[in-house]
Amino acid sequence: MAKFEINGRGVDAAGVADDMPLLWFIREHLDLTGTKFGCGLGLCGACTVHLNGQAIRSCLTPLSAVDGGKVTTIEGLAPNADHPLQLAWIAEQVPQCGYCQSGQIMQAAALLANNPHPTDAQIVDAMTGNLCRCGTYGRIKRAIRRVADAARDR
Amino acid sequence: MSGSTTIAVSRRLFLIQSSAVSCSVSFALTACGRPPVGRPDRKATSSLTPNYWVTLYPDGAVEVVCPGIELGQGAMTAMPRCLAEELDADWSSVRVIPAPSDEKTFGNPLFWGMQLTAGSRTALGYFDTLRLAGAQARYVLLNAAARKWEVPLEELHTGASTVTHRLSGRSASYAELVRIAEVPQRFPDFVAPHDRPQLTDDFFGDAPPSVLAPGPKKVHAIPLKSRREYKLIGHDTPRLDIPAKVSGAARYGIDARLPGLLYAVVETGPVQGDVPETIDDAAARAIRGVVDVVRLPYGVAVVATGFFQARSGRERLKISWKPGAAGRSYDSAEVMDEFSRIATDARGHPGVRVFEKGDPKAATATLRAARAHPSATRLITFETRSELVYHAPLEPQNATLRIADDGKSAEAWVGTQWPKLDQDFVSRVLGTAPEAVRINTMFTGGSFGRRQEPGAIVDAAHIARILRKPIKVIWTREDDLKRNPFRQALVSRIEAVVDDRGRILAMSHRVVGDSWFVRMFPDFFKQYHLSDPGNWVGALCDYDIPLQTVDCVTERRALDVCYMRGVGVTQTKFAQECLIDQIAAQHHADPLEFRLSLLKASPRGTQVLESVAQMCNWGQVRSGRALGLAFTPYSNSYAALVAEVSVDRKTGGIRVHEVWCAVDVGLALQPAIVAAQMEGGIIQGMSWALFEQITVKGGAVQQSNFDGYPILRMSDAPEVHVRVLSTDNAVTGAGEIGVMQIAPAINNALARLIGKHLTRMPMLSADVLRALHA
Repeated sequence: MAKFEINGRGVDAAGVADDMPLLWFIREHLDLTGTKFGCGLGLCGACTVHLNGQAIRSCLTPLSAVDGGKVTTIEGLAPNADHPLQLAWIAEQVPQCGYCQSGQIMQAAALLANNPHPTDAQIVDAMTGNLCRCGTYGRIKRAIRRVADAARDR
Repeated sequence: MSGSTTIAVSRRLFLIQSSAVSCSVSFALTACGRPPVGRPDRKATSSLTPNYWVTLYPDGAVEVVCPGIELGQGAMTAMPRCLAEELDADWSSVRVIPAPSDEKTFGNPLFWGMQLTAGSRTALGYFDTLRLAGAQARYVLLNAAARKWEVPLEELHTGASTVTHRLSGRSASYAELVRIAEVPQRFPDFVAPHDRPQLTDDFFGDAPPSVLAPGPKKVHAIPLKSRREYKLIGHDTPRLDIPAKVSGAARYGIDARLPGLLYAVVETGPVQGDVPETIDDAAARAIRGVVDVVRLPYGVAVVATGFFQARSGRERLKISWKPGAAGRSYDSAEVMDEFSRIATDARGHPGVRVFEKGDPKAATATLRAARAHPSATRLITFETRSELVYHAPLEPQNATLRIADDGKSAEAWVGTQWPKLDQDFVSRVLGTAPEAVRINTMFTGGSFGRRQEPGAIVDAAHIARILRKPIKVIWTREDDLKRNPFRQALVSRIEAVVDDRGRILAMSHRVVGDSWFVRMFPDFFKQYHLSDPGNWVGALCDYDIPLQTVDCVTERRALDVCYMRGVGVTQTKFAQECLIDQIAAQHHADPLEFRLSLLKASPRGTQVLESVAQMCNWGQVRSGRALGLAFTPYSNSYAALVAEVSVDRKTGGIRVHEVWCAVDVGLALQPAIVAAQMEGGIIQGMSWALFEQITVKGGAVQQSNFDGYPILRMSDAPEVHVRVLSTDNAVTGAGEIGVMQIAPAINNALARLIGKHLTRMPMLSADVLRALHA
C-alpha cells in the first residue's frame, strides 16, 4: 500500500494495486488530469511529473516506487499556476494543441531546479525526450531561456 | 491560381457548380432571437441573442460561438475576434463557447456546408459570417440607444462595448442596453464594400456567394468596416486557450469525468477487418477491477473500473481471428511499386485529366518530340514516392459516452474535427436519430486530419449499447497506431520539356494515390470525375509554363487511409519543386532567379520568394552547408522557404540547421498565430521529410510506438524564422501551408551537396548513402 505526498498533501493508495502506474492513479483516483497519457512506454514525456524533485515518467512508475516520496504534478508546480516557466510559456505563446505541455513544463522545471543556468545544449539535452507533435520546440527553448536568463540577471 | 486562368479550371468549376452546394449562412442569421442551439436555459438572465452566434449579458459579458474546433491552431481566438471587431466589443469581455453540432446553422459555407474544421478553410469560410453576426448585434444595440435617447441612429458611434452620442455627450454600455434592446423581425442588408473578393478555390471552384457582397438589391445596406479601421482583426492578442494549457486545467477528451464511469480498452486483430472468432476471457475476467468483457463486431472490449485494470485484463485475453480479412493482401512496399508502375504506364492507366493549360494536343506532341529528338528539346522526368504516414496526435483516440437508460439517446465527450460525423456514427450504432446524440467537443491533443473521422467513439457506442453504462474508451498508443487510417501512399511523376535556353515548354504531372476522399465522399468523388482533389491540387502551380496537364489516378487498396494536414499537396510539391531545381541546375541557373523568371505574372509568388531570399541572405556561400529553396502556393496562400542543410557522408545523416520562411495569407487575422502555425508546420513537415514511414506487411502494421515510429525531437529541430507578410489580399488559410515546403527545400539543398535528388519521402540516411554510392 503506497503512501506518499502529492502536491503537498498526503495520499494513501490503500486498496490500489501496487503495480498500477502512478499516471493512472493521479488521473483517475485524484482527478489530477493535467498529467497526460501519450505512449505508455516513456517515449514521449507527456506524463512527466516530479518525484522528489526529479522528472520521471509516471506512465512507467508503479505506485510501489513512489512509496514515501514526494510527487509534484503540473497542478502543484506553483500555487496559482504562476511558476516562472508557466508565465514564460504564456509570454512566448508556446502551446498549440497543448497536450504535451504539462510534461514539457515539468521537465523544464526539473532542469532549472537542478541547473538554473543551462546552456542551450543542456536545454536540448534535457528536453529532447519530450515529444511535441505540433512542433513548438523553438518556443519551448525560448521560454526556458527567458526564465534562465531572468534568473541570471537577478 | 492567380494570373492566367486555364481551360481546365473553368471546366472544373462547371463540374463543381453542378453539385449545387448553396450558401446557407443567411437563414441562420436572420432567424432572430432564437438562442443558440444547445443552451436553452439562459433565458432567465435577460440576455440578448441577436443571432445564433452571439449572446450579450447584462453583466457586460459577450459570449461568442466559435464555429471552428480549437485544435491548437488558434481558432477560438482568431475567429471570435472577427465578430467582436464588427460588434465593437471590449475584447476582455468576450468569452468563447464551441459551436454545437448543427451543420444547418454552423456549417462552413465554403466547405459544402459541413461543420468540419479542416483543409485550412476555417478563417476564410467563416470570416464573412462572423463579421455579419457582429454587425447585426451592433445594429441591435445601436437601435436600442437611438430609441432610448430619441436620436437618429446615424449620430451614434460604438467602441469598446459602449454606444456614444457625441452631440449630446451621452453614452451607454452594451451591458445597460442589453436590458432594453429588441431584436428586429428582419435585419437590413450589410455589405463589405472595401473587401477583396474571395478567390477561385483550388478545391472548391468558385468561392460561395458572399453574404456581404454588394449587389443591386442592397441599396440601403449598411457597410462594414474597412481594414484600416480594424482594432482587433490583424492585431495580435494572446490566445485564449493558452493559460489553461499551461496550468494543467485544460480538459481534453481523455480528461472527461462522469459519475460511475467505467473504462474500456479494445483488442482488435492484427489486420484491418479482422473479426474475432473464438474468445477465451477467463483470465481477463479474473483481474481485479475487470467488470465485463464484450464482443464487438471487430474486436473485444475489456471493461473495468480503471484504464490500468482494463489494459491488464486485455493482456490476458486469448482471441483467434477469422481468416480471410481483405486487409491481409496489403503490403506497403508492393503497393508503392505498383503505384509507380501505374504512374509510368499512362497508356494502360490514363487516369482522370483534371487540369489542362494550353492545347493538350500540343502538350502531348511536345513531349513526344522531346522523346524522339532529344537534341532540340530535352525531356526531364522525375518521380517521387511518398510513404504512408501516421498522424500521431499526442493524445491517442478516446471518447467518453453516456447512454440513456432506455438506450435511445446518448451524450458524448470527444476531441473531434467533425462532430456531425461522430453523431452520425454513434446514432447508427445505437439505432437512434442523430439528434438523439449530443456531442460535446473537447480540446484535442493534436488532430492533423486524424480527427476528421471517428475512432474510439464507435467502440464506446457499441459497448454502451450493450452495457448501458457510462464508458470511456482509451486507445493505447499501440492501438492508436495500429488502427490509424494513415496518410495515403502517393506517387508523383512529372515529365517536363525544356528547350536549350532553359525554358519549360510543357509539363505533364501524373499523380497516383490511395484516397480518403473516395471512401468518405463517394458522391463528391463523382463530381470530380472520379478523382481525389486532395491528391492533385498540389500539381497546380503558378509557374509560367504554357503547356500543362495533370492526370490523377485514384487507387483504393485494402487499407483505409485518411487525409493528413497538407492533404496530397505536400507529396506532389515534393516532386514538383525538386524538378524545378533540377531544371535550373541543368541550365546553370540560380534556383531563386529561375523561379522568379517563371513567376513574372505572380506578384504574390514573387514577393514571398524575394522576402525569403532577403531573410536568409540567399547569395551568401555557406561552408560545408547548402541552401535549398522551395515555393508553394496553396489555396491562394503563398509561402517560400529556405533550409540550410549539411550531410554526414559517412552516416548519411541529414542535418537541417536553420530555416527561413516568408508567407502571405492575405489578411492575417492574427499574424502571431499564423507565424506559430508556420513554425509548427515546418517542424512537422520536416519530421515527415526525414523520419516518418509506416510499413505494412500482410496487412499488419510493422510499427507500434514512438520507438519504431520516431517523430522529430528537439535535438533535431532547426532554428526557424518566419515572416508573415502583411498584404492586401483576401483572407486565406494558414493551417496547412507550413508543412509543404520543407521536404523539397531539404532535397534541393541535398542535391547541391551530393549531386542528386532523393526520390522518396521520407529521406532516410540509408537513401542518402545509396545515392552517394550509386
